[in-house]
Amino acid sequence: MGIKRLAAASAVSGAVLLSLAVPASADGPLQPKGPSDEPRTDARPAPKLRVADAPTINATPNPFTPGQELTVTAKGCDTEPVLGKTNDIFGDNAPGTFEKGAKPGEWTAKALSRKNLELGKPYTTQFTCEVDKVAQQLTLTAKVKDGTEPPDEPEKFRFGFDKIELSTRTVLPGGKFGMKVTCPTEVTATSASFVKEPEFKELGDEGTESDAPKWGATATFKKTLPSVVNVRITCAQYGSKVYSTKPGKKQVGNGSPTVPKGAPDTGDGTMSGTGGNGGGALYAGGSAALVAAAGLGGLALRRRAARSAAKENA
Amino acid sequence: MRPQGTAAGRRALGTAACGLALAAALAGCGGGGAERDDAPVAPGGVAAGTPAVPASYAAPLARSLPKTIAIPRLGVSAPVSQLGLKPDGRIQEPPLSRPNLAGWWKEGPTPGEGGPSVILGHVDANKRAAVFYRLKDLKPGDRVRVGREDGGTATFAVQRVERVAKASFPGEKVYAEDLDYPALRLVTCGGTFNPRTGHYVDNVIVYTRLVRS
Repeated sequence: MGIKRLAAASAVSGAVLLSLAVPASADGPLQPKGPSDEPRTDARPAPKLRVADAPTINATPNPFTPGQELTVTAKGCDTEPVLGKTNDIFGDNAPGTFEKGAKPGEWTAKALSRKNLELGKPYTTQFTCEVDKVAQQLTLTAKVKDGTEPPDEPEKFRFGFDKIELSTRTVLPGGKFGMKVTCPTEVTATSASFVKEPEFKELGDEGTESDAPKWGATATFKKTLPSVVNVRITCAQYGSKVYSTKPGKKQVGNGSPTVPKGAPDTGDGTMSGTGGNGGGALYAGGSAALVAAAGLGGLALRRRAARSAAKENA
Repeated sequence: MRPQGTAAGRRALGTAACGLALAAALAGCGGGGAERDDAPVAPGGVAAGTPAVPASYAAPLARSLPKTIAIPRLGVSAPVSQLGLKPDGRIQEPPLSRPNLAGWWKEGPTPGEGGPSVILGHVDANKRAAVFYRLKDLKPGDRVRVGREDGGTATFAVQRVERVAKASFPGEKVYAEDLDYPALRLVTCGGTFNPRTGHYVDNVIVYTRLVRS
């Protein structure tokens, strides 16, 4: 499709400003005109064009990071948009082809943006397509992030039971317990019921849905197991998950054993002054002891005095 | 149930009073707080001491529910009930109307099974010394015997005694510590009594381990 036969157009952030191409005078690209441009005064009357028919084009994300892949969407085009002369956003000949979108007149393409773009600056790429067999120019304007916008955060990794695969839920004395764990850092598994702590190795040949690698290890249970078996699997920096059995059961479930809330209230305080576990009782008890000791001491002194008096009398 | 509470309480009171009098006398009747007999066991601390009898740890027993608890050093002999959770997620306690009744946390291992089993008891109730009135007086090596439904007895040796603030009660450790050996934790109240809240401010926790009787 010849780009020399373009209608004049201009756009801000993908808005297309329409003017009509005049084939006879379109030896070169037409200069874009802004929204405030005066109506053209060609000798020939311009074909009627409804505003609703004006094609548009935009890109996401916008603003973008240099080198980032953008999705370009054109709407209102009867034909596939093709690259124009100006292409400051994308690499050479990109985006190459558009695919028909879900709605009539919609076209989408994906392409990598140039890596050497300056932060904070807007760039444009021109396209053309036909509407009612008349060439239309679409100007895509997209801005490079200026560095103040937050960077695109990759989806945060959350460590949960969904990141763990167990070879079995049954805990048997001397039995094996295989674990595959998706974790971006490193994995450990601990249990007082393991013969020894298993060593996790990265499973290179197994792809995962996320970017995080998958780790695998197999532990061996001791031949004598406690009533409640706990296994804690830890993904460093992302937390840990505990599997445990119910007392006397062999199946591990998700989560720790049941732990009552708070502290037990085992006493009504009615003996708090009498020397039990309570500290408040201790002062009272101590006082009582002092009184008792004083009383005993006084009694001893009186008896000693009485004995002395008796000796003297004798 | 053996009508032990009153007698035991009287014995406990008598023993405690003697101990206090002795402590006061040794201290020259200084009356300082350092001689309070709760002082040696600091919150979270350890009551140090060498076991009177070297413990020879025993292998785990099969699951069997506890029926009785006896602590010879304290003159305790009491039946054991079962305790679950209250609607608010806290542990049930034995009824105050039965001061000599202890309670076993039924969601955990039975005493003698591998893992931490837990028995609670009141320190006082209805103006009477309750089953664990003198729990803090236990020393490393003291024996705790739990009668089981299978007819056997699980004997535990005290390893340490702690007093902790209720606000920092180590629930995970007490109820759910990951152990591969049989243990029993005895829990009651301690510290000062706060009449405003109606509760003691601390808990006394005795950590024990199964031994050959």
